[in-house]
Amino acid sequence: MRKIFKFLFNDNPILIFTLGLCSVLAITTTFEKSYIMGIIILIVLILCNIITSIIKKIVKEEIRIPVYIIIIATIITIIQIFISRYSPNLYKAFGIYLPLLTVNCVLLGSCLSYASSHSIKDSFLNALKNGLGYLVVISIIGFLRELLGSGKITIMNDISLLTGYRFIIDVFNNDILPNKIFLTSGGAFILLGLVMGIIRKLNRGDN
Amino acid sequence: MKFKVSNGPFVKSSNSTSKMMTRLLIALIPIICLSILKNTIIVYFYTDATLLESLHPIFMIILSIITSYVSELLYFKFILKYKIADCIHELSKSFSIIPGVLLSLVLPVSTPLWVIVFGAFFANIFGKMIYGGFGQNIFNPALIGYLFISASYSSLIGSHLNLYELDTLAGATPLTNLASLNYVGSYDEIVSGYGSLLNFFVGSIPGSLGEVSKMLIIFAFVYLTITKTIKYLIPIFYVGTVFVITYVVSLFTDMGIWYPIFHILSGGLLFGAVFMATDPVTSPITKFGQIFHGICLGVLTVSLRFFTSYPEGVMTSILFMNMFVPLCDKIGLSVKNNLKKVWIYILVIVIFISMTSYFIINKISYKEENKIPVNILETKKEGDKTIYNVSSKGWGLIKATVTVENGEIISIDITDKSGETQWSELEKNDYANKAIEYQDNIDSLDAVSGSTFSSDGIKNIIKKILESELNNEK
Amino acid sequence: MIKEIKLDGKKDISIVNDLVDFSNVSKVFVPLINCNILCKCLTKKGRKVKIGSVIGIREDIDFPILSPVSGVVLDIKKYQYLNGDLVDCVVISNDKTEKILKKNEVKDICNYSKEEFIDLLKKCSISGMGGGDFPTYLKYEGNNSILIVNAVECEPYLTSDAMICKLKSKEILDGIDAILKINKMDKCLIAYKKNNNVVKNSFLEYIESYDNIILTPVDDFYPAGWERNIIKSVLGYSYSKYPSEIGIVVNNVSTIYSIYKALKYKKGISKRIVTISGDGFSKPVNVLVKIGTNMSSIIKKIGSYEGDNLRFIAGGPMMGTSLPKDELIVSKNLGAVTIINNDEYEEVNKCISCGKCIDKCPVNICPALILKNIDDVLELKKLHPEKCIGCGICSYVCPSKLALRDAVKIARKKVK
Repeated sequence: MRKIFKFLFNDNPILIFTLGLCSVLAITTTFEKSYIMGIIILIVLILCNIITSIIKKIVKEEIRIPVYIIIIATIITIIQIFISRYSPNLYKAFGIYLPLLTVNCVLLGSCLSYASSHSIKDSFLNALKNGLGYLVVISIIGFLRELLGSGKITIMNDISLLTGYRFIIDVFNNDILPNKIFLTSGGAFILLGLVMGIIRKLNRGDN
Repeated sequence: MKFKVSNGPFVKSSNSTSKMMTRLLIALIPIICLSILKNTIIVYFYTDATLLESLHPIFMIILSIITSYVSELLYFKFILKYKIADCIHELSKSFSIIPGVLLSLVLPVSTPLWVIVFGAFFANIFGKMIYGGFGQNIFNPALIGYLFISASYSSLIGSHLNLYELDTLAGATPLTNLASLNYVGSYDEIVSGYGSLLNFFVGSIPGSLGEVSKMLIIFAFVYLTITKTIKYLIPIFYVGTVFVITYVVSLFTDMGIWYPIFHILSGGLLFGAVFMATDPVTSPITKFGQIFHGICLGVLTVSLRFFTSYPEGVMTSILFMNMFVPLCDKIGLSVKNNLKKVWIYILVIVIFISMTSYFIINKISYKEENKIPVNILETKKEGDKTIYNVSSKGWGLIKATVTVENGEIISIDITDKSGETQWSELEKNDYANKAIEYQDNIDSLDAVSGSTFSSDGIKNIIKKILESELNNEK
Repeated sequence: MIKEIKLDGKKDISIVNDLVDFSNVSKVFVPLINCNILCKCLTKKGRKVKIGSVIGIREDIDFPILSPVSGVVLDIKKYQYLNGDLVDCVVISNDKTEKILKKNEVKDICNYSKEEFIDLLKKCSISGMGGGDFPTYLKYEGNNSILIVNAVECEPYLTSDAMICKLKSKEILDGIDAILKINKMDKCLIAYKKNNNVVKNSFLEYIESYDNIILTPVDDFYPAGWERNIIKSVLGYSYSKYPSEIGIVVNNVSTIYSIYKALKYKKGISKRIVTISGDGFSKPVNVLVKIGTNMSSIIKKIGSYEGDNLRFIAGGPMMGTSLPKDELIVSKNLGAVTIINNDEYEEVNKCISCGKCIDKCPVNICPALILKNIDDVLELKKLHPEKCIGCGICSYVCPSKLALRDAVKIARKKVK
């Protein structure tokens, strides 16, 4: 149990390095959007790291950044086309934040700093660790924000064309709790700060 | 013989922080008494509310104070991990009674009690304690609590009217009324619904608990200035700037001096200026910095009132300028070191004020003028008939002479239709006489296809003439 | 505009008592320091000295330090000076014969040229007795037109200047007259606090016979005795660095009396009046002591300490330094010793940015902002802490009782 905790949260890109926060704050208004975004980032991270690690000897020092951005942009465009074909609701819900992943610090940063100087296997493991960490944290934040902000938990709604499922849980709807301040960006920052603080404290308590 | 060593002047002055906070509370006492009189005693004796319902405002204030103390105690004990004796010592130095009282005084009278508990908790923890406690907060904690409440529970707060006023008055607060009238109107439209301006001054109008009685707030301001407790330059320049800008607006839109006075006396402007903007920790420390801060607050408040859908704008502008306090201090320091730099900053202030007035006047006159694009050039009376010379915007400009008798349009003579390219269609349909037939119900008449602009031009003439006839009858 | 605060003077408790003469001490410890610059010793153990012999010199301007007694040099050891440091002192045993190096009495004290006057002030080691210890001859070197005599004494409890006006007013007026004639100055203004009747009455007897000496009252506030505030209250002028830019010399009234003695008898300063006062001392009084006296022996003979939580302060309660022992050596610039009961424990709170320190600072700096930026040297340079004169008004008015004057002192050292 402690090992899993350490694996996920020790060098977590969101909580420790605070990278890639714009997707975290903007997308996490429903639980479904956040875990799908996390899965997308996991897939893209693994693919990018592998490809970067393969071609790291061929690329010259000066044009590293444009080359890596082209790689990331290609993969994201492919995923964009997939999503727009199979689930147009989700595509509309993501809006501009899906193309914005091209310059997300998590992807670019891990390519530049880790994959360009380590072997394929190491880059794959690093991508797995970062991606899983990102997925867990963004899911937690999405879960809390939707729970407190609109009183529901959406597990599958927008991708229903793909899977044929619809699964929304209505938790509560009274005067106090769905507090729409958590759906705004201010509430997102506060919640992110609280989650960061709690998990860092537990981490330090373990160590 | 040996002695202990300590530093500093060995003459004691009698001033201390707790005395300053006590004087602030003393200044608030008349305001609290008036709100209790207005919302508890009058409501109990003149309506059939129960005693528990009438005592609601007193519960609000007490609960807000208790929650502030409890939330700080919990923070000291569980997050900073002090011992109980240290916690109580820190509580006495932390003056958490002030945000508690001020928060409860800006809320309307029908706020549910649990909303106040949440708001006070949020205000103290997220508005004050996480920055380091007393003396190190960036934002005014009472306003952070009010922001939280109005962002999350705005529908529950309800109206600003207490039970007695619901029976005797109707409608919204004076400022939402002003916004719905597009910010201009006559004295009757804006003020008389609530009494005269004297009612605004004394405080018999609806509003939140603390902000209604301007007379008591001015007395509090004078008392606090004489005893040198607050920074008196900020309210003077804040209210002064609002007065100047609205006075310029009233000059250009032909309203009297009552318009700027109404703006000052309505809403939470005076209460926010005297008690919230002068919070010593969150306002600038140098004199010119305070002047600049007050003027920027005034410009922001007026802009928010006229350009956005916030009817009040006081809370947002104070929170916004709280972020710029180090900048105002830098400006004040550079003026202290080199007095000639004052002129640069005065130039900046003049540009702000003139630009704001210009844009407001533009917005108001645009809305007024763009109602119906018809100009009445000349009016003549001949016995029972009135003859109007008008120019209306069709495809080009249509000029016509309209005769009116007994409030009804009898004839329209088109004198200039040179700009209309498709006039032949209208002539074929005899549009002008058809319009006279439909003058009571002009919007149901369809425009002639192919010449819609010209048809609209003629329809607008009918509308404008009938409207001016209606105004003349009043 | 003068920034001021009002303080309670508390001068009546010591001025009503007569002067007590303690100049018959058996040992003196002459400190080898001038204007906070350490001086070189020019004498050795075992040498015989008379009143006026040179025993030390300040090397950069050749300013001598003279012996106040006649006797034998015993030792050179460190003793406590009024700023709290331990300073080398020449220990001389007093043979109580009062032998002077060169006995001289001049009939007409106006009969000097300006160069002789400046040379005399330098040889007799006359320096500022109001606390500054600045060599006086440097002030007279340029062309000056107005002399201002500072009898204001704005710190609470201090009455040594008032005592010397009470006893020697005729000599002081003669000295002023001589200075005006020698330096060809136009007039002299004697500044005193308007409610200080002792000074007023002592000069009023003789002032009519001098037509270019004017008694000028100033308002009762703190810091009225500061050079800039005196010139502003009395004449209305302001200057940028030194008053010699506009031709004005400001001297303390005790220094004027020493100049008179130098002009008349060609001798230096060997005695001075020190006030011992405060609410922790049983008998507040003025004493006449030799330079170099150890104050603890004097205090034991006069009265006793009263109270538990006492502070021993060299100087007045606003600007003085609190010392750990009462063995303080009298130097030319020590005007008073104050013993204060520091009973009440004051709560120190956090800075609430009220702005009172910035309102009242006489030199227009911002102590609260200096305290907030105490770690950042770049920011401190913009706040100019080197202008501070150490008056202590910022710490006095602060409602949270913060140690603002010490913070500005620390900032000053960092900015250098």
